[in-house]
Parts: sequence; C-alpha cells; structure tokens
Amino acid sequence: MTRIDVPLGLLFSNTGSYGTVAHTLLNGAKLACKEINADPNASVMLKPLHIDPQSNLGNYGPAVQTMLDKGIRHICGCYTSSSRKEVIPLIEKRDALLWYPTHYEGFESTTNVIYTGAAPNHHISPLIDYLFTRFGQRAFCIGSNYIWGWESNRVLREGLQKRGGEVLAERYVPVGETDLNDIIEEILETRPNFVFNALIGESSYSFFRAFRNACREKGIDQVAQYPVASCNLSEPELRAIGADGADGQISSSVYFSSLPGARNARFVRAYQAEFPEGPVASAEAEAAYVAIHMLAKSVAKAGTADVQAVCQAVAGQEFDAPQGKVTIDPDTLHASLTPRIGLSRSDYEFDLLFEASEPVKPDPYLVSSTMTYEPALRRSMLRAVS
Amino acid sequence: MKTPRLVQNFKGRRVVIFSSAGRSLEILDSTLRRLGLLPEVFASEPGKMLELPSDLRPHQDVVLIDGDQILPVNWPECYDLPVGMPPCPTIGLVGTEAPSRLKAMMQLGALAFLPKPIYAGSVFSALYLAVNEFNRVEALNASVAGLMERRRKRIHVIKAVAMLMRHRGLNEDAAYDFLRKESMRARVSIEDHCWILMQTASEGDENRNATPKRCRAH
Repeated sequence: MTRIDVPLGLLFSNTGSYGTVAHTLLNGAKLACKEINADPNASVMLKPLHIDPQSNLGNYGPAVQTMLDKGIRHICGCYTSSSRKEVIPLIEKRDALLWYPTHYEGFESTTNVIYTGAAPNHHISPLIDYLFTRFGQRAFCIGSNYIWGWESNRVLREGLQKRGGEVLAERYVPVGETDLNDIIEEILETRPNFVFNALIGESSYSFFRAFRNACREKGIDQVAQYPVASCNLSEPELRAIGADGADGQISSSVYFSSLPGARNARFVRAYQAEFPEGPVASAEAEAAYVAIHMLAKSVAKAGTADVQAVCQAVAGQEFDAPQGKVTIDPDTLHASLTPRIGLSRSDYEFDLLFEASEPVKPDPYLVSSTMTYEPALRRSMLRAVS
Repeated sequence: MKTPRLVQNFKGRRVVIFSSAGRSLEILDSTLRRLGLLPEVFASEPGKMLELPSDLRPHQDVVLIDGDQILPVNWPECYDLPVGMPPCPTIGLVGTEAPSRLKAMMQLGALAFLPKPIYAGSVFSALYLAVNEFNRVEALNASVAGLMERRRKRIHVIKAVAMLMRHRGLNEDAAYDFLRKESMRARVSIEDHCWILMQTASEGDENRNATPKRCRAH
C-alpha cells in the first residue's frame, strides 16, 4: 500500500523556563509518530522535524518560517498562549495548520488551528463547582501576571460570585518570580476556604513549597485547612515541587497518568519505555499524542495532506485516547474531553476525586456558562437623606 | 451618568448581516455561531441602495453593514433616533478603506469596524466593542435627555425659591435648601418637586381668587 508522506513540524521548547512541561508535549508527539510509522496498516508516513525555540518567544516565528520554507504544512506545537499567538499569523498566511495540544484559557477560534488540549469549560468550570461545594465560598487567587493568570482568575471570580461566593484577594507576580512570602502571609491573615493557583513554572513550584513550609511553622495542616487548587498541575510538575509540598494538592485536568484501564496502561507503558529518562507522562503528553493521531486519521480519511481537505476530515474525527474517547467538535475545532479532578500523592501521581460521566463538548468562549453581564462591584445600598 | 454593566456573553442575539462578501461570510457565520449568536445574511442587489429593516431591537440584535454597498444616509425614521445613533449595536465591514466608505458607515452609527477579509480572531473584539459602546452611548443619550429636561424645568425652581422667600421670609440659600430636602424626601428631582409645588400653589391662588369673587357674587 502506498503511504501518504506528511512532513510534520514539532515546535516544542524542550529547554528553557517551561522546558519540563514542553518536553512532555514533545515526547507525546514523538511517541505517536513512532506508533503510526510502525503500523503496517497505516496509510500515512509522518516525517517529523523538531525545532526547539528554547522558551524564547522571539525564536518561534523564525522556527515556523523555517518549517514552512521546507514545505511543512502541519505543525504540532506551542505551550504558552503568547507563542501560539506569535505563530498563528504565519500559519494563516501560508494556509498551514497548527495542531495545538495544550490546555488554555479559551477565547480564540482561529480557522487554521486544531485544539486538542482542554478548553476552560473542561478545567476551570468543574473545579469551581467542586471547590465551592466541598470547601466553601471564600477564595484567595494567585497567578502569574499574564493572560493565563488573568483569565483563569476572572472565570473563577465570576463563577464564585454567581454562586454567592467571594474572592478575598487576587494577587499576581511576574512569570518566574519565586519570592512569594508576602502573598503567603496575606493568605494566612485572610483565612480563605481555599487557594486558587494560576501560577506557572518555577513560581508555582516555589509557592507550593513555601506555603507548605509556612503552614507547618504555624502548626497548620495546609492540605486540610488551606487546600490549593490548580488547572495546570501535572505529574512532572509534582516532581519539580519535590517531596515537601507535592502531595495533597488539587488538580483539574482531563488526564492523569494513574487513570485505570488497559488503554491508558498501554500508553503509559509505551511512553516509559520510549522515554525512560523522563519527564513522565502527563496531560500535555497525552494531548500531543492525541493531536498526532488525529492528524494521521484525518490525512488518511482525506486521502491527502492538503490542509483544507484535512480540516474538513478532522471535523467529527474520533480517537480512542488514553483518557477515553476524544472527538473533534466540528463547530469549534476543539476537542471533546472528559473533565477530572485529582488529588496529588507523595509518589507524584494523582488519586481521582471526580470524573465526568462522559466527554464534554468544548466551549472555548464559555458561551454556555458565562453570565451575560460582567458582575457588578458590590456597593453600599445605604441611602442617606437628612 | 450610571455606567452600564459590560456585556461579555452575546449568546442568543440575532446578527443581521448586510453583505455579499463571499468567503468572509463563511468565516463570519461559523465564528458567530461559535460565539452563540444567530447570524442571518441579507445580500443587497448590486447597484441598488441597501434597504435597512425597521424591526431591529436594541438589546437583542446586532447589525453588520458592508461599507462596499450603496448605503442610505440615515436609518428609517420610524426608529426616531438621535443623530448618529443606530437602532442596535452596529459594526461596519471595511473593504475599501476610503474615507467616503468609512464616513457612510459612521453616519449609520457603526461603533466598531471589522476589516475584510474577515479574520475570525477579530470578531469577538468587534462585538464586544459595538455592544458595550452602544450601551454606553445609549446611557449617555438618556443622561443628556434627562439633563435637558431638568434645564427646561429650571424655571420652576426659580419660581419656587422666589415664592418661599416671599411667603416664609427665607433667604435664597435657605429656600433652596428647604426645597432640595423636600424633593429628596419625596424621591423626585428638585425640578419636578418645584413644578408640582408651583402647580399646587397656582391652583391654590386660582381658588383664592375665585372665593372672593364668589363672595362678591353673593
């Protein structure tokens, strides 16, 4: 059987400030490429070219340009939203296709992007319900000072207000900041029911360690009294936090490597065998793995690697993924995924606390759940007449 | 002016599109549906002036007008709109970026522009601007109308102050202060309060005038 050659760009920063997470993305994509190319029944032969932008935003444009100049029209890549925004104009200009495998804050619908990571209704929305019903109404929000932190905290704030809860404070720090003692003191003073964490990378790891330590010094059981919930905490990051602080943390995600079932066990086993040096399998690795398999299935269905034909073929495409059935929603070109909430363990895995009964249709603009009007600031109702 | 709350979810709104912009319309249609809106496209006949509908609703509809069409100068008179105000949030689709076309869309009250070919990533921003700007201008117009009305009624305040000075021997400040407090208790503007007061007073005066006449008649 003649196989369709598909030149494929892999655009992942496996070095630099978010290298750990992006490395798992790269590994997931590589594993899928290997599986597809080794499958004698596959009608597609992937020819991957990896370029590492080294977590430097300025490197993304030239890397994509290099790929496009080599005739590549399918690119799987990007972790941060800023890097995705950086490459989309180039992708569109040359009518290529970006397969974006990272959970993100939503509010985007670009015709030349297929999104296989979680949309906000997959991670933040179920987490708000869980936190509100289990822990209480008062939240303290922290985040990295960029779009992920801002939007995550906005959605949480509005979700809590809608349910009658309140956000005691929102605090932002620059990406990479690790001195968080002032914020930790403020958390302990304001005594929230839970902390919502939208910090990324080193800031997040430092926060988990320092917060656990500060609680211990005051004789407080952090896990019981001040649970911390995140939408971007995965297995490799638990290892980055280290033994002191990695356990007892709440994470909302569509995939945990500890999920039961033969399909996931097969994926984790293959991943570990392929990448024994790590980083370990995570939601990002799975999303990249799904993206490449979706690409191969869509090319096979279209009978060509032509971008427009693949775009049509990917709508409604299904894949039996490690997390369960994943489908590409024809309306939004985002994936239908299964929301889950996990609690981290000291062995750097997660116990499952909650699991949606079936995959949830993506809602990148939160059209189904956002209030029509921005919530009003609470003002005094006092009316003085002398 | 009370600042209107920002609208951030446009689900369920109808979008009336006057354009025949080809592929741009496909992108527009799919993007609007992703945002939960209900697009309806009306292509105008080539060479004929666009006929604007008279059934648009201010808070349920959004209009997209293609500046490359022959556009009328005003909205239908049935809307009874202030100058430059559209009947609902209006977005201009910009093809030829010439001042005459931009002006034509401005005259119809376009509050945001979307350049053609349409880029899906710009649609939400244009909607957000047009809807919230419409609400802001609408509130501003209501505020201006209220102020104009109060200015028109200012004469009643002057008359009421003069009456109190005359009847109760108060100075200007004390008379005004008394009227202000009374209007706050009644929860009406000082102008309306004074208007009511003067109406009552003038009826009283008429009755007073009438009584002696009746007495005289007897």
